[in-house]
Amino acid sequence: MTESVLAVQDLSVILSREGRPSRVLDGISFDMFPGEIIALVGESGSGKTSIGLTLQGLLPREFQARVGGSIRLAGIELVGARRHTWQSARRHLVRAISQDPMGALNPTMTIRRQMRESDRRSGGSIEDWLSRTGLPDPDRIADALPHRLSGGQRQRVLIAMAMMARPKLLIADEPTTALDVTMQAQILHLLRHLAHEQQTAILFITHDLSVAASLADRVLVLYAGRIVEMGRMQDVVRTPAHPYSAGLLAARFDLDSDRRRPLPTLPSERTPSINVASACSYATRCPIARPDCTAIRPPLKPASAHGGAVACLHHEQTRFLSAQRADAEPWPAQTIQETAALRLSNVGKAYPTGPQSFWGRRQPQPVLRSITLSIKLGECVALVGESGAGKTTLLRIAAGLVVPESGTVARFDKLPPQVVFQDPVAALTPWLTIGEQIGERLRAVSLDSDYGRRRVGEAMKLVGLDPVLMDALPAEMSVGQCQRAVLARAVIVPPRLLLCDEPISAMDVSLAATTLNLLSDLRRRLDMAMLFVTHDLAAARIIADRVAVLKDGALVEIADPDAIIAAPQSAYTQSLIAAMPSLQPGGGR
Amino acid sequence: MTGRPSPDTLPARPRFNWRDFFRRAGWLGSFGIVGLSVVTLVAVLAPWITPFDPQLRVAGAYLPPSAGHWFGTDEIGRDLFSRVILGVQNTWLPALAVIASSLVIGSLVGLISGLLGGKVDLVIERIVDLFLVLPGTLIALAVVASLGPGLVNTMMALAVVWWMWYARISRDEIRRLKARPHVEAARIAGVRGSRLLLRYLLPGVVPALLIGASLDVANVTMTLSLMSFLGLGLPAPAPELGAMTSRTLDSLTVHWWLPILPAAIIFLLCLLANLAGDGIRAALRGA
Repeated sequence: MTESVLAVQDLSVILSREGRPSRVLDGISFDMFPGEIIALVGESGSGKTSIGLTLQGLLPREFQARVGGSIRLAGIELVGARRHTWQSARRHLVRAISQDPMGALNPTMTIRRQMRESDRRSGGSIEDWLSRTGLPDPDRIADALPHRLSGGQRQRVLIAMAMMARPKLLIADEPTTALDVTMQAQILHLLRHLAHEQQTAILFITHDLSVAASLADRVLVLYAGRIVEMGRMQDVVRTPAHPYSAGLLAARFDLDSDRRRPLPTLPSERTPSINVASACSYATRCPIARPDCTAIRPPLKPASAHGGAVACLHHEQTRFLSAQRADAEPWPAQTIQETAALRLSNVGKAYPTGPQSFWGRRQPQPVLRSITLSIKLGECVALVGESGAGKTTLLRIAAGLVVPESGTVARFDKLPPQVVFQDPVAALTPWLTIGEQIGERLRAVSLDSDYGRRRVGEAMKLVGLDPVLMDALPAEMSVGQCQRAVLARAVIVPPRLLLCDEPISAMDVSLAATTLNLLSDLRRRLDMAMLFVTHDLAAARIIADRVAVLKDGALVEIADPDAIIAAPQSAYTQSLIAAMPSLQPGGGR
Repeated sequence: MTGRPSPDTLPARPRFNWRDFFRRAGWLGSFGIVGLSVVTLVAVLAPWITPFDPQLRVAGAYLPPSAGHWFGTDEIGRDLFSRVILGVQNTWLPALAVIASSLVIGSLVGLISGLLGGKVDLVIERIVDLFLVLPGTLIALAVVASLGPGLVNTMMALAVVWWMWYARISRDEIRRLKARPHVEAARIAGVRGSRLLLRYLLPGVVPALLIGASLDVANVTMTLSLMSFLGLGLPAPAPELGAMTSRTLDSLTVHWWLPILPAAIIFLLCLLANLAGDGIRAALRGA
């Protein structure tokens, strides 16, 4: 066995927010070996990003981090190390790539200068490293400024910049979340290749188990700041030992998931208020919790299901969990009427781009070319395409927010369609209570009246939100609750057409599955037609009756979801399907 | 499973809390805010709290600062400390008035510009640009010169050249908010007109305006003092800090306290105002 690159022992981190200390990481121990890829999986708030930052010594100073335990990177102890030890470690030993490559690049420096800055001693040529990451025309890229590059190119540049320093450890924090599936597949392939070739250990932080499965050798499952399960990736995927890992695996959906019934989800949301010193922090959500789960904190012990370790008192029960899942009631049959809720004929739209000249008008760049699409009453159509394909513009035209340059838009209903935006938190006004915002569509009725409050309460119950939250501000609620509030506002007066703009793209698996279930339920119960814009073909297949594929502003394909996936007609759809990550090793289908 | 609150119970509502406010403002900012509140109180209560009548001869002329007369006495034996307290009133309250009127005028113009957009915005913004490139203090001097000296005229003249910044701030904030998803979502929910403005836009503009105003107080105080220094504020016998400094400047080497102490108070006022402005900014941004 080779020497470990990174040895983390009993790492704990306490951060103070507004003077209140909270333990974000607790008792984290693991080793990494050269060339090994470890996936760090967990939902938002589980502490996975904090691990990445702690390993780089970059926890924000205003949180007054108190770090305990030990981090040995290439034999150097970093906990309590002096400033220049950390600086030299960051320069030579540990590098990171992030979710937002634009934010990590200096907008005023060419790629060449930034790469030279990043690594002064290396002999390797910049062009050589750029081409190693699969960038075509490295000369041009090296002399370009970051804003000239696409998102995928920027991420490759960051990878080249990080790998050029030949670090022992690369921390990749959700590096592909902002990218399209096809681009994601390429970046994952590149990371795997580099880890092997450079013998760099990669800590891959993600909330997406299928992405992790297609890349990593081992996996650490993190819950509420503790490792609840660790083991070989394929072992954990095949026979999860912790109920949380089992729940995460069951909640993920792919092109083979059963779309006739609700998706399995994790029970409720995370509650922060548990006495973690003497309880399993997952006990409040755990389907197999027993009384002793709230009395003893389970230690990480060898698992019986695989060769790894698990922190659960009753882990031998976990394997019975997956058997219970399959018998959810199927969705009731949906009647789709012949009348169209929305009919777009030959819709076209162009935006002016490029530099503004003083004399002439700017050259209009077509975003949508002659789109003809109709959504029948009660039908759900998913619009799939990569970023820049014109999906959002089409949705905004359907909503009446953007006026098309050519073609006609006809809606069945006089009531304007309602829209669910991508970021539920940003779609709520921070200084108004949830009840006030939901009740805004009942304009004739005052919210102070009993009738108004009752209607708002009913709408909240409909979307699964406790009416007690009526007087809460958005900042006091979780992302999932905000998403429900946004939906309650949309359906308090049920529209005939609901437009959803990437409503699940920023969510972790469990929340995404919950949201898909809620949308499927609402559209059937309230008999709404729906346009569901997404870049995720699997989500589209689960929710929609028909899938329309948009490429460069034109519809290339529209058909029944399973027909499209079984026999994609266009090359573009084929590449989308091929790039879907799956739980099988090697990725792709 | 006892003692565990259910996930949907509502946490205690964080109403406005002075302790949080001052913690976010930091100790320097809190010092500025408290100091400025005291100054405002002194300014309002000035006629009642002066130890001596500021208009009357109460001791010998040119007495240096002492226990009986903290700031000494002036050329005809009036108590300088009492005159400075009244001077604070004559400097500080007009400064607040100038800020308040600029705030009202400017934010109204900015709201119209930001809300209507298009051609109206273009025209209004060019007018604002025009005012911004003019040398403000000089214009104010010219206005006072043509209207005649006096406190009201000085204040009007200052307000004329001071409102543009507030117009800019409120216009930019409105335009920023209009593009935010939550305002768009409210519009899709059917909120229009004054309801959209009052409930969804204005509450987002107010913090920026407050921050701008609190950082601006010191500038106005300085300019007002400058204009009084140049003889364009209150007429001669009334105590005003800038005017007191200017009238006694030639005795600096002989009776140093006469120009220095009023000037020091101007300096202190501006320092407090800037600290308070920073504090308010930190507190509101953090909220």
